[in-house]
Amino acid sequence: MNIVVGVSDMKASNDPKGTLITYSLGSCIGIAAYDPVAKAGGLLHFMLPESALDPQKASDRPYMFADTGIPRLFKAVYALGSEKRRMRVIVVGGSQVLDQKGFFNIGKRNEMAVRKIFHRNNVVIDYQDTGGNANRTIRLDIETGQVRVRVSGEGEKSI
Amino acid sequence: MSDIKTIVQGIGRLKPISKSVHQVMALAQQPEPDMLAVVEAIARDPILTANVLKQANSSFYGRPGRFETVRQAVVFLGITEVFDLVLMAGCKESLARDQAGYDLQAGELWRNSLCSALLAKAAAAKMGTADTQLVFTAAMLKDIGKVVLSQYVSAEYEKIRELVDAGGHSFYEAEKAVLGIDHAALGAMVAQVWQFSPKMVAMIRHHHRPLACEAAREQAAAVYMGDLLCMMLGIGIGADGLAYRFQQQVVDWLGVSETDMQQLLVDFDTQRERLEGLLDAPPPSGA
Repeated sequence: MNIVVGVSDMKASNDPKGTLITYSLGSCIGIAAYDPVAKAGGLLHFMLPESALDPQKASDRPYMFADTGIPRLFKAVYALGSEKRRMRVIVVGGSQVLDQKGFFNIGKRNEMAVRKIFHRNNVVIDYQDTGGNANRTIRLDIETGQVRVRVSGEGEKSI
Repeated sequence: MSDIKTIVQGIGRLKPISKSVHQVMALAQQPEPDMLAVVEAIARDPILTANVLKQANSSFYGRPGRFETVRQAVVFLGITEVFDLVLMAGCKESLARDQAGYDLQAGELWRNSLCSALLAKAAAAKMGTADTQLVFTAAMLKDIGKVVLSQYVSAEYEKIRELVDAGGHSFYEAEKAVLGIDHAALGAMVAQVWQFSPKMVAMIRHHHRPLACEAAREQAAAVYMGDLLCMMLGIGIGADGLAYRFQQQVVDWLGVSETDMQQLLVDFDTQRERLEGLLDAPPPSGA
C-alpha cells in the first residue's frame, strides 16, 4: 500500500504493508529515516531551507521548511520505537536549474540546510543523491527498509 | 533521423483549438472586453460551457456547485478568471495526454502547464506587470511544442541526454542540436497555425530566453519565472528535469529578489490542495 507524502508533508509508519513515497522532488529534498529493528520509518518532503522566511506559514505547515520539518520527522519515527543509533538516513533531491547560483540556488541551499542541521545533531547520512538537474522520486518500503530512487528518463534503482 | 519538415507536419495532427475558444480569446485581447459578447460566445458552445462551469465549480474557486450559468461565473469570478477557464477548457485535451519522449505520464504536462501559468500570473502580479492575461495564456501554451516533438525526443533521447550531461547544452538547446528544432520553436509554430497573435507566438518561442522577446519582454519574463518556479517545485517535469538555464539577468531585470522567489513558492504551495479540483486529473502514480 502506497502512503503518499505530498510537498511540504511528512508521514511516518510501522505498517509492514506500507510503502512511503514522495514524487517529483525538483529542488525540494526528500529525507527517509528508517530503523531496521523497530521496522519503522518516515519520509519528509520539504521545499525551502529556513522557516524565518515566513514564520506564520511555518507554524501552519512545518514540513515546508528544513529547520521545522526535520526535527518533526525524527520525533515521529522515534515515537514508533525507533532509536537514533540504528537509524538509516537517506537524502535525495535538491536539483538545480543550470547556472543557478548563490542565493537563488534553492536546491543547493536546501542541501546545505540539511547538512547544517545533521551536523549539529550528529546525524550521519547513509546515502545521498542530490544536486544535478534530474527529477527524482523516492520510496521507502517499511517492512524491508529498502529505498528506491526513480530518476525521470532513467528509471528506478534500489539503494 | 527525421527531417524538420516531417516533424513540423506533426502540428497538423494536433486537435486545433475550437472556433468558440478562439472567439473568446480574441475578445480577451481587447482593452475593455465586452462582457455580454464573452458570455454569449461561450454559451453558444455547449461543450465549452459545460467545461467552463465544471472548472468554475471546482474547489479552487471556493464556491463549489454554485454556478449554473456562465453569466454567474463572470459576475462572481470576474472576466479575467473566466478567460483563464476558457483557455484551460480549450487546450486541456491536447496537453493532458502522456508524452513518452519526455517521460511524462498522462496528466503531467497538463499539470505543469496549469501550475506554471498560475505561478507566472502570480509573479506578474507581484512585479506589477501589465496584461497578466497574456502571461497566463502564453505560460499555459508554452510547451505545446513538446506534444509534437515527444516521439522524436524519444527516438534520439540518448544523444540529447549526452549533450546535456556533457555540459554546454540545456535540454532544449540539445533538442535543436540533435533534431534540428526545439520544442519552443515548434510551439511558436503551433501558436501561429492556431492563429494566436504575433506577440503570443513570440512569447512561446522565447520562453526559455525571455529577454530576446522584444514584442513583450516583461510578460515573457513573467512566463519564464513561472516555468522556473514550476521546475523547482518538480511539478509535471519529466526527462528534461531542470536542465534549462537560470538567467540571472532576467531576474535582475525584473527586480525579483531571492526572498520574492521563495515567497512565491510558499504562496503557491499554500493553495495546492484547492488546485487538485481544478486539475481534474489524478496526481502522479509513479511508474
